[in-house]
Amino acid sequence: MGAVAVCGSAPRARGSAILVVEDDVLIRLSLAESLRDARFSVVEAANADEALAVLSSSTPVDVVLTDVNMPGSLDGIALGRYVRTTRPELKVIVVSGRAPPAAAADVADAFLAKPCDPARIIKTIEALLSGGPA
Amino acid sequence: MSQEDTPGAPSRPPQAVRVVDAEVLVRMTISAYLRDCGYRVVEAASAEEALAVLQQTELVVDAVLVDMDLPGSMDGFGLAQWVREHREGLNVILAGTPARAAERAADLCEKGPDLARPYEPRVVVDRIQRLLAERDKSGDAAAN
Repeated sequence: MGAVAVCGSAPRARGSAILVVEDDVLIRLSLAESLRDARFSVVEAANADEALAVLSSSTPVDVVLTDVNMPGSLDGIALGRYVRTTRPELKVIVVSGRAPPAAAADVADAFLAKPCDPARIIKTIEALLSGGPA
Repeated sequence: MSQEDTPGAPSRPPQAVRVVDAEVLVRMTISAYLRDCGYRVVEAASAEEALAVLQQTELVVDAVLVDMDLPGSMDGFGLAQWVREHREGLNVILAGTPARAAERAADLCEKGPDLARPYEPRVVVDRIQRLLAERDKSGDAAAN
């Protein structure tokens, strides 16, 4: 499905806040720009510790999009588990360049393999926010 | 932060500002404000991240706003020095406490320490606008 079709699929999701957690700055900036171009509000975190700081603040977040392998006190799976426990209303998308860890199924609403096509990510976010399957 | 609080957006295509700050909530807030003002903002959480972006020569950068007390192998002063050596003409705005600035900034910044931290968003935008306007004037003069 192309970007145009994606744009029309779930307009109410646009404007939602996406927390992008990725330690590779070039991947993060590219992804964040794609999401902003699609009219999402994006908060960038360079690791899980930064994500925890955002989640502990009053910053609006609807979806947490996290890489798995990151430096710091938590990896993406542990971050997903934290979100599940403390903010169960949030959607969690896990991305990884490797096969999905077994635990991903417990903590994530969707798993995407890297490299991620931005249109696929946007479609997944919109599906989750619309209450449908990712 | 509302649009009403923001100064006028740049009338030209968006100018690109790199915000380098290790405190995510500070970085997020000033970046959101700058985006509301019409700038294209790229965030970096460390000097290493900033270098990774600055070494991508195809990515346009007009100004770098950097916290002088970045953790890691390179602090904000080191990053400013790298920019001076490798990206001549790129404006660097150092932010930090006056005491720390007085300690180290004078030999790096032609005009001394630029901004106090925590950031006052309007002051940041004013500073960026002035720097980029000065740069454009210099460019025009050189062209003429």
